Amino acid sequence: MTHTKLDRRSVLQLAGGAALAGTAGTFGMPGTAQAQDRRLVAVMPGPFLPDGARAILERMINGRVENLPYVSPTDTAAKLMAPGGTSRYDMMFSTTGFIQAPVLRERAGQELARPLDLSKIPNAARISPLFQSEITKRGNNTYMLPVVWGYDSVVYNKDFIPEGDPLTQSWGVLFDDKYAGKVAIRDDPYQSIALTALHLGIRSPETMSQADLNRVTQFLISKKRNFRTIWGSFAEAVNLISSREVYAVFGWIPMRAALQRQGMNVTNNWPREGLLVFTHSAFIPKDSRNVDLAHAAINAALSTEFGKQLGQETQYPVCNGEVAATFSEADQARLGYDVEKRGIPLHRYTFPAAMDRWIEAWGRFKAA
Amino acid sequence: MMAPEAPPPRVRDPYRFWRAALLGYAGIFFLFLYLPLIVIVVLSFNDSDATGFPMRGLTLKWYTRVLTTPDMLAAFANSASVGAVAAILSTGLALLLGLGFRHELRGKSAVLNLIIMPILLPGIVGGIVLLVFFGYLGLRSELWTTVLVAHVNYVLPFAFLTLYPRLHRFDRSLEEAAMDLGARPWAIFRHIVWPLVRPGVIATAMFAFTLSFDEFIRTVFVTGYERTIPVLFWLLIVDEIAPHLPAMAVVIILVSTAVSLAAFLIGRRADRSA
Amino acid sequence: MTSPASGKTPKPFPGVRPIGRPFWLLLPGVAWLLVFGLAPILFMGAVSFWRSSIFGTTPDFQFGNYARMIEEPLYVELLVKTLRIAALTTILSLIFSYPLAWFLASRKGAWKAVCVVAVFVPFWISYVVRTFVWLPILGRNGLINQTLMGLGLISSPVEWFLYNEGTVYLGLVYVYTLFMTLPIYLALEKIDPKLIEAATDLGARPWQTFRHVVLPLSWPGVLSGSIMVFLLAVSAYVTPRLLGGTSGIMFGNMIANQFLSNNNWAFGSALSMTLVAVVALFLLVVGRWVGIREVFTGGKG
Repeated sequence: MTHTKLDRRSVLQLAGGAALAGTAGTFGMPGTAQAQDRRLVAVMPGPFLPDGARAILERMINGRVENLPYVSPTDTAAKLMAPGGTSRYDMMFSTTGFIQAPVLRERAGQELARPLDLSKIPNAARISPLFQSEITKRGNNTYMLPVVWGYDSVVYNKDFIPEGDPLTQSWGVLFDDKYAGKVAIRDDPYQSIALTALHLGIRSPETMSQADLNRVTQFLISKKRNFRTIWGSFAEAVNLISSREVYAVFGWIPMRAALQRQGMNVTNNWPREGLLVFTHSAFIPKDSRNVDLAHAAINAALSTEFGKQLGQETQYPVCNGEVAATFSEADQARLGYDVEKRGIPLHRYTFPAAMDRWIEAWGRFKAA
Repeated sequence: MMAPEAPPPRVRDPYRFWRAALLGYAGIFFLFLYLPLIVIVVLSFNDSDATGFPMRGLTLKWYTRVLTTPDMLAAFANSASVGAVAAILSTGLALLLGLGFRHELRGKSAVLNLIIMPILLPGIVGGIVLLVFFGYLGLRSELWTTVLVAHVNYVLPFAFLTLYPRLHRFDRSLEEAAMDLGARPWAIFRHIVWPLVRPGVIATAMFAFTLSFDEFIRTVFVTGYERTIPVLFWLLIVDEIAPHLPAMAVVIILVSTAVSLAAFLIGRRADRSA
Repeated sequence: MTSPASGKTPKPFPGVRPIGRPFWLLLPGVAWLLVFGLAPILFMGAVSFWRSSIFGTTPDFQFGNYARMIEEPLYVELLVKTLRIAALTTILSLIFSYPLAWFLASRKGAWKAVCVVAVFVPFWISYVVRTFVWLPILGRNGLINQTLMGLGLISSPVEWFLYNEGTVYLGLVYVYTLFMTLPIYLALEKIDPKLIEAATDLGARPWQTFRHVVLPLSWPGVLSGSIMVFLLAVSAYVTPRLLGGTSGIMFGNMIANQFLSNNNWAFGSALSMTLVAVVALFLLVVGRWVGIREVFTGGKG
């Protein structure tokens, strides 16, 4: 009986100890109370903060960025629009064409972001003339600044899909039966439907009619067997290529970079029907609790040093016009800084008016 | 697994075939159960930047990386501390409810329905209701608010159902004798009831801890930037290139096996002494 | 409270009332469950009648969300598919877990402890990881295909191992089998072996013994395991997403999409309430047939 009791007590102590240690671990971590103001609660895509670039940013602002898992532009909008949402995050980055309307809302005075104090963001002057039109203003106020830009295309494995194959220069590489079963698209209503619509010759997918949407859906369903699977997030797509489960995915710039770093022989295509391009803009939610630090972080993200590091780590091009010049001609082509010279239409990400219908169409595709 | 069965003394044993079949089946089942585990362990040593086959040589570097990554340690601290607090809270509430249930009351059945309800709520909805609720209350999604509530919600019914039978099973003669002698309720609880139920309470708390430690589907909807272990796993799988994922899984298996084994043994002991 | 009860009501321990005032004992737990359990559900019920747009969710009472769910066949189809997958997963788990539970129950001494623990261990890794790991096992260049090709049994990789509904069943049965095995094992363990001996001595064939003695006695375990697995499978999110391929969508994924990518909280709430209602209805029907509460409380409620 004695040793039983002893055991129980010691285990109890152990459990208590573990609880205490855990609690201490959380509360005792650098900066809960006293360093509160040096901690920036951000919502931005994880790939924008690779280790090296994050270190530069955090050094410049002398604080820590606590980034929430980023899901999608619509999720960013949802987070912002939720009651109390404007006070929960200190800084956000999201796709300009998707987030503009929810941030500005219908009328002046309703904005969910606060006007930026450009005197605290001197690097805003470095934004390339190409992206001036992506700066979000209402009246005299500036609400969002474009920081990173990029394009979505098909990332493919050259070992299995020869670069010379004319199919690679269109979205058709995802649909042609030649590569049936060896391709994957994304489980994302907007991106998948938009690229399919472009492929079917619809110039402006975001405003297409219900009839066109049905046509796109039917086409997708007819090609469903061609897709090995649909991926949801960054690592899933990278693993699909690196495990050679598929040879081509609809994919993002940093996937190309990550796969090349793993030694995979991959590149991306430049679809002649139109490349999906976007900018990501930074803004400060209206009731941010850390306005100064957020300004500092936006300024740091627009710096040349950060932009160059981000380009090296993820191959993302940035809106800072001085960064391109820091790369060689060949590297500029590799990163896509020359995209305007390639002579393909650029299709800017825009929120479709009938997003609900798009989601339903995508649901029909998946349920088919 | 292949321990030979002792030959039965009976001359004609109609079960002999079934016994052999059962043993064979169990062998296959354990293979099915353990194959993924073995694969995780093997992959954790794979010297490749991609998670998966083929093997490109052996390395220990992923373990070094796991044990030196602040993300993993922070997630572990988060899971352990939320688990401990959720376990203590839910076990405490369950103990009070269980003590209350020893009384004859009207409305007991309604209360019981209320307790069981969270179990019957599909997990994904269990997370989303709190996302909506706290969203409109204007609370930031954080470890000690939204995540803790989600965990206690999930764990409380199980804690009650585990603890409740143990509160009924013990011998009440001592308690009755003490009452006859005029002891105060608190004194009775402190000196008689508590020592009897304590093993059950500890076992329940540890069970609650393991449930909380592995909770994912509710947490993922209400978590902020602080990650719990399952949420971190999920992000590593879908969002980040994480060749160290298998090594991290192995580390977690070892830790949770140790904790759960302790809980299991305490639970058995508690049942025996109850 | 120390005074002995007058003994007007029959109770298990006649003579004395248990310690404590029931009101105060029940208050904290009941308050928690009302505030954090019931209130959020009722609130979501209200939100499901609101309206969401690109500019947010506004509290105008309307039936549009539910109307859309009925007008558009997609949602009913998905619900049926989800219930079908959950039901089949439950049946498959039952078929696979029952013999294992019997195996565990018929071990003796230390072996039993070892086997029981051995069943538990794989469940101590996050089920997220346990689902993911099937990808390198079943993939085109995964373990099984490589092994089969290495043995010369197949010449090109088998594709149907992964990314279809079958894989979803495999994944679900794998991650939830413990929830089926454990209650059946606990029920089987309570059966007095003398009963089986007696049946055998009376000349019952093994099948007859199982059908008339073992199965009825293990029924509570079967039910409680089935209900748990059904509930877990019906809200599956991770498994269909990771393993299901292009058809890997279940109702839970549709709900999640409304919150994560569509920002339509009102419609997402309506979908959630529908799932809750359907599951509750299902359990009510099953509950008519067997007491659900007895399943969870072992008849002590």
